[in-house]
Amino acid sequence: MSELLVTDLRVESQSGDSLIQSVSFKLGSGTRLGLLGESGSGKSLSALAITGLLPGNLSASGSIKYGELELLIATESQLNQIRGSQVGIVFQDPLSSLDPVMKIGKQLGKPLSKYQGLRGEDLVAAIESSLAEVKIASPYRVAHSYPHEISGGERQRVAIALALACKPKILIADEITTSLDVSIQSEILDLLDTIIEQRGMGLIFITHDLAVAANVVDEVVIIQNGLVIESGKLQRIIDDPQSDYVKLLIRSARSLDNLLGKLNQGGEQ
Amino acid sequence: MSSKLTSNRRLFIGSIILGAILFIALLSLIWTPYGIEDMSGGRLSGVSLHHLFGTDTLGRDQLSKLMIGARVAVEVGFLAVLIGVVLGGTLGILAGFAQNKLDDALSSFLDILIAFPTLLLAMLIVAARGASLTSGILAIGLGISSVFARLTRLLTKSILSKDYIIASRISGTSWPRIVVLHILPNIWPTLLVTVALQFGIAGLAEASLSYLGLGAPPPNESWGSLLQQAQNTVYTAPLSAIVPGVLLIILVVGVNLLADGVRIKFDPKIQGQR
Repeated sequence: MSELLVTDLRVESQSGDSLIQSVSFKLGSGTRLGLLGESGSGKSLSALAITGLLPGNLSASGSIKYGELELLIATESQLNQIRGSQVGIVFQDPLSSLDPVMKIGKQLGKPLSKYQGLRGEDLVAAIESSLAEVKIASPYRVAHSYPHEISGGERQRVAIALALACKPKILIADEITTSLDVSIQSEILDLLDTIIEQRGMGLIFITHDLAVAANVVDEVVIIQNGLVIESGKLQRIIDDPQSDYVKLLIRSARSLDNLLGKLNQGGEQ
Repeated sequence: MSSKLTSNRRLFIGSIILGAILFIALLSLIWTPYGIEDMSGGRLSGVSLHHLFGTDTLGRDQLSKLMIGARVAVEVGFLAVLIGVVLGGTLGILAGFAQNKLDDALSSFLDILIAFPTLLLAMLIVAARGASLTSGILAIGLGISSVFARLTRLLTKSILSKDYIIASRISGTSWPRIVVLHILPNIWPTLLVTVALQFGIAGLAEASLSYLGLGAPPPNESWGSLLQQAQNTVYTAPLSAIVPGVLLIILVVGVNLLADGVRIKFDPKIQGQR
């Protein structure tokens, strides 16, 4: 995998409002990077800027380099190559990231047949094995269902399978556990952990939840109002936060943890 | 009440009504009880075994004229809606993709079109091309294409904002493929209902045109022109006004039932809500 280097990324709206003021980070081979911040801080926009898919009324400046290629000035066909084979993305709401009127198997089949040239029985086998890879218990049933016919957890697994279908080198996970309940959250995080490990992919994990990020990533970039306020190894930041905002984040994550701990102990007695 | 039975029943009743009208329309091509120029019936003779719906002021058989009217109604409805869907749908999808100034320009254009009364547009076209069935179809088709354009634009925009479009783009799908794969399958159920509605409206618009004397000239008979002819004799022969009117209502109801039934039965989104 080539290195992804984002330097001084800025995103402005048409009216001149600055949505991202300056965001820089580096994603090396096999790195798991967390983009952390409250909603509206510019995490998701950063991810969209990387894929060159910002909405038409927003413009990005600065630099996003992938290997030798400068993505912000790349042509559409260069971008399409990167998108297809290098980057996959999973979104917050799996119901909106799957086409509601297309069966799961067919949706998964599109990228599989496009990038791996599979047809007929091979394709069917590949669809079922990619569903099995994301730990779906009954791949046949899911492949023949519409998105609304399967559970929320299954949908998010399917969305992950879909993002993995082109065998990307980088996976962008945008708040993927936010719409799931806690037990399914941890299952999905475990799954993500395993797959990233097996495939040796780079991960950009976007979340507002420090506790969730702590389970998955080794490095974090903390963004507030479109500005990076702290970045580096997760452990170092948790041990020694520099800014008040990060201190606050850590304190609230800890107090939630303590509360949960007490509840658990209460349950065991 | 959105049980499966109801959707099936709508489908059933709708198909029977439309099937019957279609059958009569086709039958009129090869057979009508009397020729359209046959005036042997006597002026305004009432209902009899020879003339099921009586005759008109010239002694022509009402039933034969009604059958030809069915053909004209189906023809106008089908072709006008086809023009509307193809033209309006294409324009609407393009407008759906357009952004910023181009989008503003296109949607203002569509707003003007939709604000322009269909009937007035139709009269302009008929005035320019002369009254014929084709003029009528063209005029009505153009008129309703603005409705389709606006609807498709909105639907396209709402689908383009969905995450699965971004996901699809990221996996390298081109815009034309996105239209075929994601946009069309997602918008047709909504479009279908409008198609049905507009089919009925096209039939009514043709009737209005004919009523105003701008519709298909003889030997074409439409239900609208029958209504117009009947207005002078409505007190002596009320049936000649009631029957075409009721047939128009039946046509509109039938098409709507059919479209509702099809939509409920085949739209996976509605199936999910049950």
